[in-house]
Formats: sequence, structure tokens, C-alpha cells
Amino acid sequence: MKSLHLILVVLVVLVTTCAGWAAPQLPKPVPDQTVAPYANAGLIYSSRAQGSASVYYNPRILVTAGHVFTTRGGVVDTSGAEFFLQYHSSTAPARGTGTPIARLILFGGTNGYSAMVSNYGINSNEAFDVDVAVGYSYSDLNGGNYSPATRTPYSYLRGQETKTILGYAAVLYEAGPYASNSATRYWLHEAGPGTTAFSRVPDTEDFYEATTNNAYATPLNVVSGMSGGPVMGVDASGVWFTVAIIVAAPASYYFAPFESTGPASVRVLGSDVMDTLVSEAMMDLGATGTLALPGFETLWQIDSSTYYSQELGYLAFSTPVEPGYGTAAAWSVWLNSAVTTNGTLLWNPDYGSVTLSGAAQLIGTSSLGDVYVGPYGAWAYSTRVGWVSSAKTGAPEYFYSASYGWLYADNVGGIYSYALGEWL
Amino acid sequence: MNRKSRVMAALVAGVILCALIGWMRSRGTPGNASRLEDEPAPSQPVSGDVSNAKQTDSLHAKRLFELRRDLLAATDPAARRARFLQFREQLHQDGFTAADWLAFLDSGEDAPTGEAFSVGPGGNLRESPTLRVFALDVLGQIAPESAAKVGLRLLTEAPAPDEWAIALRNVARVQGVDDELRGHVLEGLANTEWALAPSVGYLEGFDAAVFSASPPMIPALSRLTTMEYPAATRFAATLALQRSASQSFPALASSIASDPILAANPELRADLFARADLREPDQRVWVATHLSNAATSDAEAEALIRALPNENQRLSNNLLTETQISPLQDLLGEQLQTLAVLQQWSQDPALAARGPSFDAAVQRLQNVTAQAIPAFQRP
Repeated sequence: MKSLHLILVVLVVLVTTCAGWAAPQLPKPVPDQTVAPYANAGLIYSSRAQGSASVYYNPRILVTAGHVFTTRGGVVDTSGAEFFLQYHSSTAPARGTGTPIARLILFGGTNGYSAMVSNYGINSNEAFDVDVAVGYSYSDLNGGNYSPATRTPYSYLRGQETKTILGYAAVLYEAGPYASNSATRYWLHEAGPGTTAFSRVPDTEDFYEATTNNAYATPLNVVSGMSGGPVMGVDASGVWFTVAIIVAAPASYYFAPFESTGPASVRVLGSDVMDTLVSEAMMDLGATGTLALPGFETLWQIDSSTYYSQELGYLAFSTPVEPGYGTAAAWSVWLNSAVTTNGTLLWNPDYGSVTLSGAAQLIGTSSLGDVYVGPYGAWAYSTRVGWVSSAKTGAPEYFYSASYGWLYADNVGGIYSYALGEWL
Repeated sequence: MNRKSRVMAALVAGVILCALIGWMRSRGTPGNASRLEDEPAPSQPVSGDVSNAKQTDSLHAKRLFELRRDLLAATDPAARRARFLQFREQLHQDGFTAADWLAFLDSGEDAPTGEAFSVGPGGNLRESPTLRVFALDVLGQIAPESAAKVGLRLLTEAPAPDEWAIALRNVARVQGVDDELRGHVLEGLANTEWALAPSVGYLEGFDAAVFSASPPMIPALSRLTTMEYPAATRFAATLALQRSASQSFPALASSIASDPILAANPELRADLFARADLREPDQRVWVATHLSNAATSDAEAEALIRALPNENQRLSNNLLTETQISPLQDLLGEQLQTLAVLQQWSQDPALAARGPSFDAAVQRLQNVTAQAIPAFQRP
């Protein structure tokens, strides 16, 4: 029996050798994650999964794979999504210490409802064809840096230009040959560089796989955990750009030493992704790439004519959850250095007045005056509360106090304030 | 002149007449000098009804039937597709009118085009799998009123699933949401044969359920999320439920809460409930009630709270609806207010059992909103 086993092993070696099979070239830790082409890649977490991502096209946009956030039931769970740029450690990052992703939107494809026409579910080629997600944040993800896009991702992929693929190769440390080496477990890994050409998978538009007759001849082999990581290309001047993202390793390559390893299958970052996801993100962020939250600017560059009474300035109220549901414990916030003591505070006659029940505290300054917060006794006026000026019709406005957290006013008569952790 | 000669003469005269008409058209005679310019290309939709359109041009109708003949005769899918593409490319210059398309549709004839069913921007088709679907799509663009009438007639007969979808689009574009439209949507969703072997057009038709979202749609869609149906149908039904909940949560909340199939799928039901907008008092009540209900499992409550506010969307071209993505500043406002609501609920004795979930969600929302601070000028 033992000799039979030996013969079998020898046969396998002979067959694979004769067929040109080589030992798989596994992804390897990168030498320095802070330099090109690695510097824009990072680890991404959702509440239920780990993957790879990279800052792409804009300092506040990242691109990753949609399946990192999708359950088999088709539910998308992006809660707790956070990004760890250039993460590099032997241990997993502490949750809550990364850069939170304000929003993640997934690509639904040309045909949203039939994106998974195959009966094979989320592991179908059709599903991989739409397996892209774009996230964006309230602040820069890499100090203003990002990886540029290319106008010619298809020709670059199809050709034999230099490519390298980045991601966090989690599975290598769970069951693979690196299992005994935990030092680099949470290091960025690289598959490549290599010149392997990619070809389009039949019945898809943008799902490509590394073309090879020899499963492991290509250096562009990827593993689980690298999903969402970027496929990088480089131009003649040495500038690296992003061509595609990793979405799969073909299951057919089961000669792998363990599952989920094989030549990279990638989703091209083509014009459809740019026209839908990235353009949507850019609209939200503003064409310049700066966060478009003009309300705050407006508040601090206050124009007195905006308000009903320059003397009273801007007045906001805070009650738990809902203005108009006034409670005695609520507070007021206003901009006016003259009103800092107890007593009745006249307001827009349309809305009556409020009575302050305690001394106000200075929380900041503005061009109109100092910003105070203080308690008031009761709602002494109409339940309709809102802006001092009834002409207020703009976007919601926010401002922030290091001591008191966020203050937020909408444009339909509500002014809210929130401390980070407690009510004002 | 014998009978044979008379027939030959008539044929020759007919050919000459057709050639003359064609020549005059190509020259642009005074009688129809502006015709090509006045008649919009199908890809440039305009309003207009067939009653205002010119009468059917027999030459154009003939060309449609010739096309059908060629498509049916093509044995190679690539050749069929190429033939149709050739027709498509010339269409812009050929001045087909609503009457031409109506005549073809009335004939009941059809042929495969070699194309897929592919939705483009604005809900117009980028590709059409059959000549009839193509005709319905073009008609819907150049003569919406006529397309709606044809659509209604089709829906009361026995449409193919792809035609059901495009007919729903055409009807909904003109008459909006009403009971008649809802009835036809529900009929399609209830068609088990279609659901078990879904065509792309059938699945895209689920967008009409989102467009006409109403309580009866919830059980009709939830039924299709079960394992009895193929993954494609389950996916489309799930996506339609999610989009419906995002757009019309108050109207659907009761149905979502009471649907027995969703009750057996707590992950999905949590996803749907988390699409409530907690800035709205009535929606807060729905979510709080669901969380305080002892029948809501801890796992479902945890998933629901974890996802709040659930603005997850898949962006795609749809037949009728457009995915609404709120501006980022609105999202920040929603996150801030959701944070406030969760903080309040965490102190509510009626929701005490969900406490740990609230704590985690509050921490998460504090993290994400605090990140926005550097974007602003500090006091």
C-alpha cells in the first residue's frame, strides 16, 4: 500500500513536470508598503469580512470588491467599514482605529436585477462582472495621494505590459505555506510583477483572468483576502496607476496547495465603473475632491442678512431627537456675545421666545460673534422651531465644537445638536 | 395581352412606382422635404402619439418584415446579430414612424435579434433580444401614448416575459402608478414558470414592482426569495425588496413586519428595516416597535441596529426607477441623528435587551461622524 502511494506521488510529479507545471508563485510581502506602487493600498474591514482596497482616482475615494460586503443572501452589509492604509503588522488592527468609510456603493451592472443571471450565485462569472464597490470618506484617505485611473485598462490588461497585484493574503497564514510565519501576516502582499496577459471571461464584459496554459507559471497568482486589491500598471515615465481589482481566483485550479489560490481573476475598472460609481462619489465629494459640506462654511462665514435679526444672530435649539418636542432639560446655542445670561431671549416674533435657565458657556467664535451654549427652561413659543430667518431654504448646516460636538440644522425647521457621546 | 403578361406588367409597374417613391424620398421632394428632419430618430425620444404621426409607410413596414425574414434565416448567431446591428445603425436615417412599428407589432410576427436584454440610461434598452421587444422599446421612445396603449393590450393577453417588462415600462411612463399597473406587475411576479426559468427581461421587470411599491408587492417578492427559485430570481426579488424599502418604507413597514417569509429570513428583514429613515418620527416608531417586539430575535435586532442607517445601494440602469443617493452632507446629518436616536434608545427600558447592540452602533457612528471633523473649520 505504501509503495502504491509512493508510485502515485511519483506519477503526479512526473505528469505535472512533463506538463510544465511549476510550483505556484505565491504572493509575497512587499518590501516597503509606503512607496509606489504600494502606498495607496490597505486593509479594509466590514462588520463581517476582511478584504483589500486602495485609494483610487481621488484622495477620498477607495475601490474594492463588492463581495467583501455581500452575504450569500444578497444582503449588503457595509456597517463598520473602515480602511487601514498601508497596514503593516503581525497582528490584526484594532477595530475602530481605521478610517471609517462614510458610504460604500456597489455596482449593479447595466442590468441591475439580472446581474446574477447565472444559477451559480455570487460565485458566478456574471456576479464577478459587477463585483465592484466604491467607498468614500469624510477626509483624505492618504494625505491627498491616490492612484490614478487609466483610460486604457483593457488594452493594458490584454497586453504583456508589467502588472503587479496587491492585497492582504490572509489565507496564506491560515492554511498555507506561510502559516508558521506570523510576522508578516498582516503585511501587504504582492503578486508579481509579471507580464502575463489577461483575457475576458466568456459571457462577461469586464471580468478578466490571467491567461496561461500553466496554472502556476504566471507570477500573478492571488489568494483569499486579496479580494478588492488593485491591479497596478506602470507607464513609460514610471507612474503607477490602477487597472482593475482582484475579485476571484478560478476554482478550476484545484491543484493548488490549498483552496482559493490561482491565477488572478480581476474586474476591470472601465468606463461603466467611472460613469456610475466614481462619478456618483465625485458628485458627493465635489468636483475638486474636497468634501462638499458648505453648510459649515456658511455658518462660520455668516452673513447677517441671512438672519432675521443680526442682533440675535443665529439661534439653535437642541432637544433629544426632535425639536418641537421641547423638554426642560434641553439647551440652546446661539451666536451673539450680548446674550450670555439667564432670562428671556427674544427671537423671531414668528416663533416667540425662549427662557434661558442658566449661564451660557462660550464654545467658539464666528465672524458674527461668539458662539454660546446654554440651558433654557422651556419652550415658550410655537412648537414650530427653526431658523431665525424663515427664508432659510438651503442645505443642512453643521458646525463642530471640540467640547460640544456637532451642531446640525436642517432646512425644514429643525435645529439639532449632538455631542459626540452625550447630549448637549 | 395574356394573363401572364398582365401580371408581369403589373409587377414591373409596381417596382417602378416603388423605385420612384424611394427616389423622391431620397431627394426630398417638396411634399416631404422636412420629413426626415421632422421625424425623430428612434434613439431621440419625443412625445407624440400615433394619431399625429403619418400613416404607415408600406416600404418601412416591408423593411421590418424583410429584417424579420433575414433574422429567422440566419443560422449563425453572429450573422444574425450583425444583420440586426446593420439595421440598427441605419435606423437613425430611415425615418420609421410610430405607425410602422405599430403595424409590425400588430402582425404578431417576431424574430430573435442575437442581442441580449440590456438596459441603458433612462430605462431605454441598449440591446433587445427580439424584434418585438425592440419595436416596443422604440415605440415607447417616439410615441409614449401609443406604446402605453399597446402595452396595456399586451399585458391583458399573454405576453412573453421580456415583453411583460417593456410593456410595464411603457404603461408606467404614461399613466404612472395605479391599481391596473400594480395588478399587471403582480401577475408577472406570480408567474411561477417565468420565475423558475427567468429571462433577463423578466428580472429587469422587477423594477416595476419597485416603481409601484405597495403592501401586496412584499409577499409577492418575498415568495421569490426562497430556495425554491433559482439564484437569479432570488437576487432580483431581494434587490427589489431592498429598493422598495429604501423608497417607500412607511407604506411597506407593516407588510415587511408581518410577512411570514421575511420572518424566516431575519437577515433580510433586518436589512429592510434598517432602511428606515430615523429622522422621520413615524419610521422611528416602526423600528422601535420592531426592536421591542419579543418575537424579533437578538440576531435580527443586532443586524438591524448594526446597519442603521442603511443607505447601501447598488447603482445600475433600471427600466423605471433611478437609484437615489443622497448627498454626503445629508448622509452626515442622517448619521448624526441616527446616533442621537440610538443613544436615546439605549436608555429606553423597553429596548434594554438590545443594549449591547446599541453600544456598538453608537461607537461606530461616533467614529464615522468624528472623522468629518477635520473637514471643518474648528471654532
